[in-house]
Amino acid sequence: MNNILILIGLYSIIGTLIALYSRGAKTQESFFIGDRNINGIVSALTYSATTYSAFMMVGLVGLSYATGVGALGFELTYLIGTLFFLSYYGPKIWRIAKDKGIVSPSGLIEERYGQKTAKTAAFISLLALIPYTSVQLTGVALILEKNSNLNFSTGIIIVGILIALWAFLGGLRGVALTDSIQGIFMIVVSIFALIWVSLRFDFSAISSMGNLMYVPNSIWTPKFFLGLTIPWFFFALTNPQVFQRMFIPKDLSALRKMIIYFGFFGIIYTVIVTLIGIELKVMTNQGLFPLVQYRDNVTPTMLSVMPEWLSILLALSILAAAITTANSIVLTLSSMVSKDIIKEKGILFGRISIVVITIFIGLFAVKKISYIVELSVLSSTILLCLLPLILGIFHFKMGKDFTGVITLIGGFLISVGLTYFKISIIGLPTPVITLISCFVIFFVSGIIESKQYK
Amino acid sequence: MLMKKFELSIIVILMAIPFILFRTEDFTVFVYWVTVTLGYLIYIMFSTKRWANE
Repeated sequence: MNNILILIGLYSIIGTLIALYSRGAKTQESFFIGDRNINGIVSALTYSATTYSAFMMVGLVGLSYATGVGALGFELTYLIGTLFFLSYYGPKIWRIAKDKGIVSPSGLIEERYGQKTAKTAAFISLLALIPYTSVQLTGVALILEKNSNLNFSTGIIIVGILIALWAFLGGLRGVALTDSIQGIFMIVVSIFALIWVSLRFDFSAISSMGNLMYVPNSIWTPKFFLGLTIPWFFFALTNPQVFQRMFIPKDLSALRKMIIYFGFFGIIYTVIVTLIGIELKVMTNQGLFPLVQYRDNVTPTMLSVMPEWLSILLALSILAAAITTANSIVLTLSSMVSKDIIKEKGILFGRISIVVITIFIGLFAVKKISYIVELSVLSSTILLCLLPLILGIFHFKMGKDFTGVITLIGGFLISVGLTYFKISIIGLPTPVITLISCFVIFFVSGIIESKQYK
Repeated sequence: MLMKKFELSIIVILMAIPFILFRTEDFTVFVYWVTVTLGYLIYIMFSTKRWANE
């Protein structure tokens, strides 16, 4: 048995023991949001580990390698947007959720718009996030296949079992505690990786990057930047797995700590990851690192030239990043199925849906269906249709169920249609068109519904 | 709310500045973006201090 498999075995045992230690939840509030009693540090670490997926160490390293400093701007603009929305809406959302006993992210939408809207939001979240999560599994299984000779399907099964098991046993407490340990592990290993790369990097050679060290350039045009950044800028409000994290801190002080510590985690991790990508590109220019044509292969190539101990730890940190994101998504989606679709009082169907959703994710991942990749890229754009409804809770009084359902379905169809038929309206990126359309639909249907109601 | 709109406008403008101002092939833009983000995080640390008493 090779070393990485031994480490994965050890990692699985530790995670399972933590999940077993966290079990005992009987109520929905306890199982899905830890009785709203999570301290600031654990809240921050689970928020960070949930947000930062395998995309960081695989996708963002590759994006920085291929496109330069624009990748940093894109990721930090996301972070700034998240900090802004968390600091403004975080306390309001935390308080409403606590006062009204809201557990699932759609619960807040149900409170304001009605049951049909909450159900539609739950279905759209399932449609958007299952393909997204399956791509995480595919990426990790490919890395495991390359580094441990573990068969691709076996990799998917192992990762799938860990995702479902830890969420099934420990609920939010299990997920949050395993997230915390893995979050620390991810950042520590990434620091080692950066040190290893930086020791081989000549800072004076940075000019070999040319125009990739400023924006705009041939890749990072304002249109490209906007197209990538807009869906992510609103991520904290539109993605249910992070939205639900605003319910879990035990008090406002813990919520504040969650936001601040997450901010520091985000800055450090983003700087490390983008710096690794840029440094590797400079090393390629100097002939010190192989030229990588396909950007998602940059990290696997780096793993293949690193010392074995570091490449094993880094591969494990990528596995951890994927699992922490995936099990948080699965737990949140199961809370939506349990609370908003099935409307059960206990957690039986919530637990069953953890298993069912994970099986779906695994099946999509094993099949490697091409449109799944497209859907996963589209997930953050699809979820933009939730934004007018979330902002409507605090700022706009018009509209109930009709407005909610029309906005969600309209936004979903527009985002999928524009992408599928590759339609560009007056040269604007798809997320921008989707966002504008969702608000137009929301206001028009809201005015119509308000007039009918009168 | 007006203050928050102002805050949002400022951070968006600050993040967009490299698209207009910098043309150097070194770490200037990198350092600038990290500094703005760090500065905003420190601002949030101070502006949310009162939460601890609520």
